[in-house]
Amino acid sequence: MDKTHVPAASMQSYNLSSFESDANILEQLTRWLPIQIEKQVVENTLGNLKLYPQAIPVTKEALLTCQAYQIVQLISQYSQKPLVVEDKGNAIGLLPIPETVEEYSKTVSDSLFIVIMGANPVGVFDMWESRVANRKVATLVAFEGQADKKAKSIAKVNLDFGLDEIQKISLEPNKMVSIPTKEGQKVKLNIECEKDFKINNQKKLKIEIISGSFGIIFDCRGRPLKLPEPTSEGKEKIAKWRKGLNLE
Amino acid sequence: MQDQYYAKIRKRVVEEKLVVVNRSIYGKGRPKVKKGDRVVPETIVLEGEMPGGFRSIPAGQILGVNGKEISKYLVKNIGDKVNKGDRLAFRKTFGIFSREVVSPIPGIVREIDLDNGVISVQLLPEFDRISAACWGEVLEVGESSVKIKTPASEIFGVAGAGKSREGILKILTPRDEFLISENINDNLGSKIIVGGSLILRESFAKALALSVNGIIAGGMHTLDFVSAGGRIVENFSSSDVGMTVVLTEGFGPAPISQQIFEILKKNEGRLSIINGEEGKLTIPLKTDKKLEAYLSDKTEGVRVLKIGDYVRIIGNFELGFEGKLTSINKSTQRLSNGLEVILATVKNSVKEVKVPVQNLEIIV
Repeated sequence: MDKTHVPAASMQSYNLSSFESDANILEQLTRWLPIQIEKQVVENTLGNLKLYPQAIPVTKEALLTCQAYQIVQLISQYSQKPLVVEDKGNAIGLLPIPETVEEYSKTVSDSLFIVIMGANPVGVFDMWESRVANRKVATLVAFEGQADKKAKSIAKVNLDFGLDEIQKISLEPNKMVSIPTKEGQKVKLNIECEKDFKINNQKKLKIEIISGSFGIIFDCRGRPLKLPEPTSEGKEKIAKWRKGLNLE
Repeated sequence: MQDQYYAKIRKRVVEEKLVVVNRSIYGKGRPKVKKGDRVVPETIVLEGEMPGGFRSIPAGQILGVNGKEISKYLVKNIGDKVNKGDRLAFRKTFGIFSREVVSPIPGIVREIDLDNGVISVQLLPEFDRISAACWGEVLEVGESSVKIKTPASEIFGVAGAGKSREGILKILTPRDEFLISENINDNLGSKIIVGGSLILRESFAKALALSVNGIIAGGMHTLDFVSAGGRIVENFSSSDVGMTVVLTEGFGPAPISQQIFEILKKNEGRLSIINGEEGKLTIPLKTDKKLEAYLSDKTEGVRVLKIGDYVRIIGNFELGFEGKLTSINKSTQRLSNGLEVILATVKNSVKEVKVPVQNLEIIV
């Protein structure tokens, strides 16, 4: 299998306005909260996080605010240098999980969610932990394209675990889907994208991956991604994406 | 499992030491003293013209025309001096109707941006005089600052906003009560007031309107702090809104530290210097006593936590709670939010609190 790791290339995926003001940061952060938290509590949590960066969030609200801030920081970072596998073929990009993200994560799912939402990668990526060197956590398959309202599927995937049966799944638009695997397991993926969607810049992709401890994640939200609004609908959207990674 | 944990050391107060006070002026100043001079609080050490800010007026929007078109309706031009309320541009519409743009400040028309239809008016520079505000000896004289060695007590906050100002210290509430606007009355102009655990937005606005020079409190809501000129990004650098604020604990309600409040109470009625940029209050003393010099910074690095240390809780839970460190768990425990942490127990005469060991600072 011809498999290479490629560095990030340029793509205009996120188009955030500037981060020059504190109020703007707070507004961006609010988008990424999966539950309604009183505005003043969010603001003060962020203020104290900046003042005392070493302190651990003790409440659920404080933890979710810290995680949302991590997402906003990653968005800011990756908007300068977006992460996309542009090479046609079965190239796999590298997506590390920063140590700072791990500090605010109670499970690996938390870390994965923060990094995927913040980095907004496009293509097939291996996601690695920073704290434990050389430990792969997950493989991410993030599709490019936008589904029209009637679309029921964005891609069909055959997963060959080397067993008698091949697992077949149809991926629904605007969802995050995770498939658990054993760490180190080889999995052959045969992906066929529907109209308007691509993976690694092509409609069909056959690729073999070696699984991490978490498994395989399919990011079916499409790109360019519309940011969730800081409304109850936006919160529902985030809650749905979190559920796809087994998060409450 | 780790058997030793490091924590930041925080100095909150310095009592009766020889400290260095920096008196400065915005812009270029003219020093009125020289190195070695003895000064008293009234001694003028610097004077100069404080550069004014500017105001941008969206003239195109007000007149209802495109940027370039505003040139047809201008009444004043670049370089013209204007008073507050003077007409900058005027447009007659449909005979009897008209729209006008007036200057909100006295100043000079600095720029007319025809791309965006914006007129900028520069405030006229203001004459400013800086007094020593302490009893001491001039150590160093610069173009816009003078350093003075003075006997004083100092209080170090955690965040602040606004330039250095002086005033008589006045305590308005107990250390754990909110500073409400009813606490602030007309005779507090030019004073430095001490609130309790939280400065409410309306209290800040009232104090500013009454020309209070500074406020000290445990906390303030983050966005209120930003409105007061503070920043939570870019190293907490601040701008000046006309009043200086120093927070001793952080954001949200948090009682002023007992240790700090005791010093404030002891010095109520004294002339003090509040500095938002440094997050510091200096209370100069008039004394002939030989005092030890204190030249160190407010933070003193980190060291290993020891049982019995006097510590302070930081972060968003029980912010500012102070007490004795009585134990550190040997194994991790799961918090209600799911994080696995090592918990430490802090106890004072009122209660006992358990927090992650990372949420502690050592008070010296």
